Amino acid sequence: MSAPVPGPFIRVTNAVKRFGDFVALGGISVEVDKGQAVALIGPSGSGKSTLLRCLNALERIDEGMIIVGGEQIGAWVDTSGARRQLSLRDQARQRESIGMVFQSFNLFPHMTALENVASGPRLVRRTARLEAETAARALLERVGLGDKAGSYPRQLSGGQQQRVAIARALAMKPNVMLFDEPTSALDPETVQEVLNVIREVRESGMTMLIATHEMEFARQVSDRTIFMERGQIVEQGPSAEVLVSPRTERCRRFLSGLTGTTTVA
Amino acid sequence: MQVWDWSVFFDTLVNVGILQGVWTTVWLTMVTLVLAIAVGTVVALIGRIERLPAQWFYQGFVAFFRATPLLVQLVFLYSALPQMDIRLTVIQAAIIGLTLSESPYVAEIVRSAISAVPPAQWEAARAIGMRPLTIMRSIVFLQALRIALPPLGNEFVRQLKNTSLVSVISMTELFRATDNVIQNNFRVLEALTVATIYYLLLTALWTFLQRAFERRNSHWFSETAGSVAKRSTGVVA
Repeated sequence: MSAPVPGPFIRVTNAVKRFGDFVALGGISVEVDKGQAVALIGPSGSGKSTLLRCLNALERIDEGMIIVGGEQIGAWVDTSGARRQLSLRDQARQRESIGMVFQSFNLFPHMTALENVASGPRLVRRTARLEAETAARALLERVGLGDKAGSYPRQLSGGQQQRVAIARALAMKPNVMLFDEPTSALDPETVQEVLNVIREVRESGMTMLIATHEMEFARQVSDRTIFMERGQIVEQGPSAEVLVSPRTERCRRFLSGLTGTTTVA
Repeated sequence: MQVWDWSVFFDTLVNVGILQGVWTTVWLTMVTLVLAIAVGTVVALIGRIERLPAQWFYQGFVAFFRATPLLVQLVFLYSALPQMDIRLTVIQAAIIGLTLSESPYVAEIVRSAISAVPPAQWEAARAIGMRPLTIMRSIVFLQALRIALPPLGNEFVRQLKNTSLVSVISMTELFRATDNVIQNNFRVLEALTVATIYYLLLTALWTFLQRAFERRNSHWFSETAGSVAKRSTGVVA
């Protein structure tokens, strides 16, 4: 693999992703420095999720390049300059250091909260059970669920499940965390507990990208905000500017639409 | 001749030959079902490989053994193979025939159970950095097992009834043992009534055991099914 290069920690260059005729990402470029938090906002279908999924190779980009921590994600360039797909094994290795939190939590239903959190270290890194579970217990404490270690996902509320999912991602000690609309599937009363956990992760200095519809939260927690629409970046800049006084008409319309009925296609 | 003779009935009920036949039926069912689950699972896993040869093998295997009657398979194994100098004992032919004829049904059950595990489970495991084999073994297979167990239990009953067919290749299981009794005393009605009762008892016993197992482990079964049904909302414990 290529040696770490100086510059931004995440560099997406002209990334294109198509699903059949539908262009999910229309050649976008994004850079994120280490320790930065970036919010991705935009209407449904704008490409936020696709971008996050491409960042850990759950989806494969059709054109362009994604570099995280100095390594090309999902591909490598051979001596002739041609781009080749990485083996499943190498893709798995890359994902170890990229944490992902899904909208629908996706906890493993046959494992307790503790086993879920310990599953990565145990099954990927072959960490001894005692060591993995001690670390997992500490992570559950950190997300405020120390007393739920023995509970199965079905016994937990949505907010609790999502906090377990965040702990599960953190257990792999990732360099970057990707949050794909982490509160969109939650009951309103449990949104805040999840946002508080993400805020705490942010304060620990984690590099992160968050696709979210929680604008107030995005403003508080992110350094930069990227507004996407139809697979393109329409506007980006410091969160305080983009979210409070956007330059583009489309972003303004999107933000105002969120408070009332949405008019954005 | 009397229509129904109770003393013959009770004699047949505790006839040593019949009881041995019951035991043969039971072990033959269990052995061939376990083997069929092993073969069927391997076939199902091959069927999940998205390559043409694997697909051909899967479709061909399932189609072939489902489309040919077990009776024909058994006679083929026992009587036709010797012509090619392959000589199987009665027990070998019975075990191979019952295993092969059952395995496509198991393969279909296992394959659909694996498909029933939501793709999101694969994604979540991949996102942590798990490799495909680990995901299959530790995440998907365990969930699929819970989905597959009830239908696999039903296959036991089917297999139990199918064992009666090995009587045609002269294996002395319950049905043939019953027939042996008939050859001696010509009391067909009493003997077949006894055989029917034993088949009923065995299936009833199995159904009872399966229900009890599923009830005792209901939490175990509902974890997978429950999380598939409800995605976001949960009950606070």
